[in-house]
Amino acid sequence: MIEQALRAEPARRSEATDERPVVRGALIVVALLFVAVFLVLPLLVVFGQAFAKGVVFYARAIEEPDSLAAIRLTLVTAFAAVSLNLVFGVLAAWTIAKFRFFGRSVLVTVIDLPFAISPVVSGLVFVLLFGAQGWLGGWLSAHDIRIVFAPPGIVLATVFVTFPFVARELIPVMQALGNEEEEAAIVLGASGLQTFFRVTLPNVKWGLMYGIVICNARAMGEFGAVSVVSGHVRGLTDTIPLQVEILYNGYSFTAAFAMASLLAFLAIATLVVKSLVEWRLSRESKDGN
Amino acid sequence: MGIDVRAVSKRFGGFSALEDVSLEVRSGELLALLGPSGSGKTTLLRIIAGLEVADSGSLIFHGEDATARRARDREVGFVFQHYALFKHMTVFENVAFGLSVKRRRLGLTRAEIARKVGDLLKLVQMDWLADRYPSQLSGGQRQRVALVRALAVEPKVVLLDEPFGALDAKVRGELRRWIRRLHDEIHLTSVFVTHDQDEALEVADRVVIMNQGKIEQIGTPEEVYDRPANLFVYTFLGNVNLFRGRHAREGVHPENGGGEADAYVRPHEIELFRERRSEQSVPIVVSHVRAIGPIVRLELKRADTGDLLEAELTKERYREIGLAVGEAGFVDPRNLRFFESDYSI
Amino acid sequence: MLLKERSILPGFVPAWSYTVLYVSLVLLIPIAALVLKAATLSWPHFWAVVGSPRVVASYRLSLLASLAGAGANAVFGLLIAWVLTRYRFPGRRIVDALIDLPFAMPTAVAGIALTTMFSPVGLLGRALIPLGVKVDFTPLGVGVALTFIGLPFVVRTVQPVLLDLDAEVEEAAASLGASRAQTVLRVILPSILPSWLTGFALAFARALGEYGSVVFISGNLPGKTEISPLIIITKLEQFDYAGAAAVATVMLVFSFLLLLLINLLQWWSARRFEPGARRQPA
Repeated sequence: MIEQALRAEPARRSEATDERPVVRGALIVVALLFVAVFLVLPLLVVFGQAFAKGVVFYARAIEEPDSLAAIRLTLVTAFAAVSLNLVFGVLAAWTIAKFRFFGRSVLVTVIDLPFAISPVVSGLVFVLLFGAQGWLGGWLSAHDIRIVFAPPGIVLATVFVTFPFVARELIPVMQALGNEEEEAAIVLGASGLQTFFRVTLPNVKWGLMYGIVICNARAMGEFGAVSVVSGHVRGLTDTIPLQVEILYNGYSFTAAFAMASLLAFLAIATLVVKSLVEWRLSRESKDGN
Repeated sequence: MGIDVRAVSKRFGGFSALEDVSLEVRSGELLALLGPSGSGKTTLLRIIAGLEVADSGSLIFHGEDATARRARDREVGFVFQHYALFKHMTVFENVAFGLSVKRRRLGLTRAEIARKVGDLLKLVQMDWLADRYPSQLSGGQRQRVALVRALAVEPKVVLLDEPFGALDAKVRGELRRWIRRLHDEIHLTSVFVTHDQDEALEVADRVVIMNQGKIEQIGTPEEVYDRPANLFVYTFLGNVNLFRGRHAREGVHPENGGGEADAYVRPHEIELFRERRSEQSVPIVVSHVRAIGPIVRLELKRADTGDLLEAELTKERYREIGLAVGEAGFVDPRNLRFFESDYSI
Repeated sequence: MLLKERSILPGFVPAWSYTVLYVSLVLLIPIAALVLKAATLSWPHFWAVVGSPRVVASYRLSLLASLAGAGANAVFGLLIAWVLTRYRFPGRRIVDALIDLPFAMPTAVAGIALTTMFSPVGLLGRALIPLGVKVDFTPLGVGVALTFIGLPFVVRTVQPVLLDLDAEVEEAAASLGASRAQTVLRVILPSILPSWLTGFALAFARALGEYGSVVFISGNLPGKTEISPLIIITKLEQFDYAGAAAVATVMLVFSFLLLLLINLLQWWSARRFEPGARRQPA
């Protein structure tokens, strides 16, 4: 989640409330070591392995027809999932942040559900609903519609897993802004849509942007849920993470890491956007008031 | 435009913000809603604006029932306590907002809007700020922009919520006079909320004093100050000294008077002497003197009861008497007031 | 009618309706389908499936490894949050940004990277295996993967609370004669306790359901390094849909309980630190 305050520099502290330099140094070293082992090293391994056999091999691994198909499917899936969850997220945030109503906290909890549910279970629910053995399986096969083990199932599972992200980013931002500017707009004669597009949206644009970016990263990288509904039809229902798994299990380590590096780039880009957004927000909150 | 508020009540959960409040805002007047926080004054203002809906009661705007009218159709200008300026818009865009969202309905072109807004900004001498963003303005400038934005749509009433609340003392004074002047120039019906009695008494034509969701008194500043309806109004409008019942002057007891009524007097209505002047004179000892500016403030301790009294004298008068800290003297309260005792300070 | 406080902001009915409809279609109906599928089993059959030794072993591993991962994060996450909010050092901004990496990085990518790191020829494996510490294909490996994916939760829940902590409160403790350790233990820790526990519970919940980062490093040895989500996948591959649904239902119950706990924790910390947050007009 976006935390505006996090960009703030640690304040200089008085002698009385600071640790001795030795203690401070030790704490910093331990923290950095932990970060190095668990965060920096895995990232280095991904890129190191991906380029282990040179740039030419890297490019060739990505240009494989199966890999290109996986990239294409990932892009389409992410686009669909992000669009659906964007519309939902904006409306849900508007409902929850701007109004008090019966069942509001239940709704907030329900939106959080996918965070707590195992991705494997998230995929399974769609197999049980739309699969050959599923509740709607008979009807679907009678009408020759394939959802599970086909791209629609992958989109559905991805939508399920990435469902809360836009809403979760927007709700706190909208709540923090309060209703005054909207009230001012309405007293000045603006309609509901004018108020939303001209006042609310510009105010939450940074939070919305990060919501979209993190939703996209998670959509492109989703593994557990997608692997349940995909059925691994090569060149047809494999996304990038699934292609990584296939290559890795087939001992094509370098190619697997080449595909993985695409997603690692995406992750880094996501973190960069997050930092930019936080920087913007902290600047705005410093300017305002 | 006149506004009639009739028997309006409003609750928030278990908290009763307004109880059966009725009030008439006269066309063209500048009315202050004055009261401590939690007295319901802001709620009343927001109900008039249509930002809150009353649980019961009705609103009459210029003879027409406006209770169910939507906020955007009420033709009311509202100035929010924290201004609620659109942060992502320049001063110009903020002021133009109301006109531009109603552009089609009003049949205005963009150029006409630009000209109108430009004229208005020039009128209030803020045209040089047109391209600034709210974050680049001082508090006083933001307040002015908020007011000009509300005026741009030519409302029939302007409502201001604690318009000077967030400003420092010097800017407050300037802005008060600016608003009073603006009001006199354009003769708009205006209602403002404040918790500062000086502000209400200085700026408003009439003052409505509110407490715990009810109206205590309505009147001109002189009326409410000189003839307070009850103890709450009296104590809210200025500092007060209490004379306990048995020491109150004989014969002046109110009708409920079994001799135990408390009497009140303002610090500037206490006269100080070296010698006893009358039967009613009260012996005191001066315990503290603060002589800053033209007024000298004294803290006096009653020799008989030990109660503390506050007195205000002009510097000249204090020099004449010349009582220093620790010296004894006498006070005579002028203008003692009695209230029925169902109020407590 | 929808029970709602009146507001002049428009759009409640359409926005609420769409939200509820979407939540129902995407979330609630599919979850109901799962529970109904599990319900097609008779009680004895259901218990036989979810209580079979291999499945129970997977719960044990999932619970213990998640607990270990969340525990490691509670300790190191708190330390990192402390270091990030209190000290200036070169690269602080970058470290701060990196904390969210496990959140943004696909789990499969993390899985193969960790496996490679800890393999006998990997960067860390080469150093650890001579010491007798084997990580890959052991429960320890599962714990390592779950530590990775849970890292952001403790840091990000504790960090804002540490930042909000008034320096004056610590100075007051110091001026009243408390040692630095006493101040930390008796003033700082109690104030961050609710958010710390919340972060721990979030990391634990996330770890319980995790799949992608674990399957590569665990080796998936039945009864030994097999986590619960993997059991579901195995049952699916054997076309045992009802069995998969039964195990999934058990996991779902765990998820709900944890979500409940997390909500209670958040409610507790909100109540503790934001008294009188109720809206009340002047």
